[in-house]
Amino acid sequence: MTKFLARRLMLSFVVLAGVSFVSSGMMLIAGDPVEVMLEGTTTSDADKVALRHEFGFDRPFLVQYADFATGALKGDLGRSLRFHQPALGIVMDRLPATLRLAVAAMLLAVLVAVPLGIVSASRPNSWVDYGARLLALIGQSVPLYWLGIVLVLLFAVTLGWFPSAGDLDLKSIVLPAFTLGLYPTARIARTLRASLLEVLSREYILTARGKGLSNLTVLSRHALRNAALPVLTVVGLQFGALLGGAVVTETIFAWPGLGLLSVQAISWRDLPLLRAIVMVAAAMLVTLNLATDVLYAYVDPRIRFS
Amino acid sequence: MSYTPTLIRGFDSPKKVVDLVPESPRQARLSTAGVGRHQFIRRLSRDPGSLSGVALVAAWVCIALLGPLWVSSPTDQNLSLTLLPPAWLPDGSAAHPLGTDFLGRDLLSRIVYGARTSLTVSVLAVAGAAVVGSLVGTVAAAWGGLADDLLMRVADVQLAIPFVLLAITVLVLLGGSTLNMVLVLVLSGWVIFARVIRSELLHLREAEFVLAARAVGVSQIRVALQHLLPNAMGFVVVVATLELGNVILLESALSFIGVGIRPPQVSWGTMLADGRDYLTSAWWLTTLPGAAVTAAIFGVNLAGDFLRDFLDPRRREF
Repeated sequence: MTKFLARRLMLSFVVLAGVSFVSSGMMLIAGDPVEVMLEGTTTSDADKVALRHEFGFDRPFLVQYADFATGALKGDLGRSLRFHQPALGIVMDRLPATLRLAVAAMLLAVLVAVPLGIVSASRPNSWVDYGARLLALIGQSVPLYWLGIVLVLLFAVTLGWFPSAGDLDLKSIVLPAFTLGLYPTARIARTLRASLLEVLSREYILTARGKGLSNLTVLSRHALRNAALPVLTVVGLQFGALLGGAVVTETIFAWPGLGLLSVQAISWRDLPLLRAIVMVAAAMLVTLNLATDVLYAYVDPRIRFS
Repeated sequence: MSYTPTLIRGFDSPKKVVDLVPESPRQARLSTAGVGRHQFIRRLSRDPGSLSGVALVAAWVCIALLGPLWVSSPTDQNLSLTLLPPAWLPDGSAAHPLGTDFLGRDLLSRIVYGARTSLTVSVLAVAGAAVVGSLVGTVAAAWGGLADDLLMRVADVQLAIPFVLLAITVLVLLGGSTLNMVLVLVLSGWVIFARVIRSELLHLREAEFVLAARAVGVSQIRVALQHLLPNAMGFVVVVATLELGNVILLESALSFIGVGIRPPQVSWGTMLADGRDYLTSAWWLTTLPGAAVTAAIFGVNLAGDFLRDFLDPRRREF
């Protein structure tokens, strides 16, 4: 297990190093960050030179990258061009809102998808099953920005039940969480149904039924546990996607999280800030993947030793 | 006296040697595909859900290809007929079946041209991603070792960067155009192809027909492209169909944010974004393009699910 863990940690580190190099390389390709930010303004050349010097953009790329990488190891992700403050601090201020939204969306998804998947799998090809499948397929096909607009039109503008934007009170999270949670709901329900159907065709289920156990006991004690692993994977993957993929939802609902911050950073042309956001998002994703892997290895010893 | 190995003289020409290599299972695949054509149609006709998915995709393709023959230009403005509701509502006009937008442009014609843009961009992007991803996956599986490790780490790095952020950044810096959009979508799509193809081909690396091909000196590239890759073509098709839905979604989302397709070219995403300002006064401006995107993705997903179940029953999700 220690060896497995060490190898996985190494890989995560390599991936993060790769992300830092790629995001720094993107800055190089974009051109001089100072020029990018101040394009179209009347800033004097002397001021530009001073700014460039302050942020160290007048040094060769590799020197800048080495500087950034050593800084990143110590928890310093550079400074925001716009705010002249450590970028990590700005990112961390926005992180809780994103986490809150992602957790709410995921909770909603699991709460809806698990009963849906179970009902669907326990009566395959019944009208309940068809209904659940159709619902899941539609959920997978609706563009979430459109869903967001329609929800705002219906529940904020017409009915006035929820605020249409911002993060003011508890009610504000409902519409964005629903918007963000629809796709994972569909994915989890589909995966659970497929996984359950597969498990239900196994012989030990037949044995359990043969013993005269009720449908409910067979499902809850014998089938669900064995069907849970693929679902765990999907939950992990989707949660990762929620952390990085909330850009559109946060923009629509003016939700003050990382997604909105990144769109703002792009519109301010604040490339160092954007790089910090990418690094933090990647770190979260890599940690999540690592956690999923470890959980998997813990549950299934075959993975540990292969 | 020189010794001539008469026994193996027949092996002198490289061509002959290759002939002796056991045929790769590609032949077998192709022949089942031939038999399967009947089965494909039979299975499809018995499955109303999948059939409607395929019909929906076919309908969108027809609309995109032939629609412009009937509708007017999507950029024709008529400022005396702005925000006209669809024909079935009071005040609607038969000349504009789905109504007009804030510049008096015909909504039906814009949806038709939007389908053209959406399908062109997504088909090109998926094709590009399939080519790049399949090559990477095949190379990783065939070479193994360092090349495999390196390519898969690149894929991991790509997956660790939130795609929407990457796409927005690239499009803002390079400017939104059809070409840049396709490039960005290829960049996002190749990883899934590479991973699926690699994992499918990995267990074939030691298969007899591959070992035999190697043993008689077939070059690494030929082994990869002629003996390994064809075995994964079924998966390429399945992944491509399932990816198509994602790509349509991404294209419209990026255009919606305002970094994708630029006017005067019509995109469903930009139509939705424009319509947002008229949410309360002209609901059709957002609802109808949104329904178009949903219907297209819905059809592609249904067709993709069917194709996956048909070609690869092991991976059945539904």
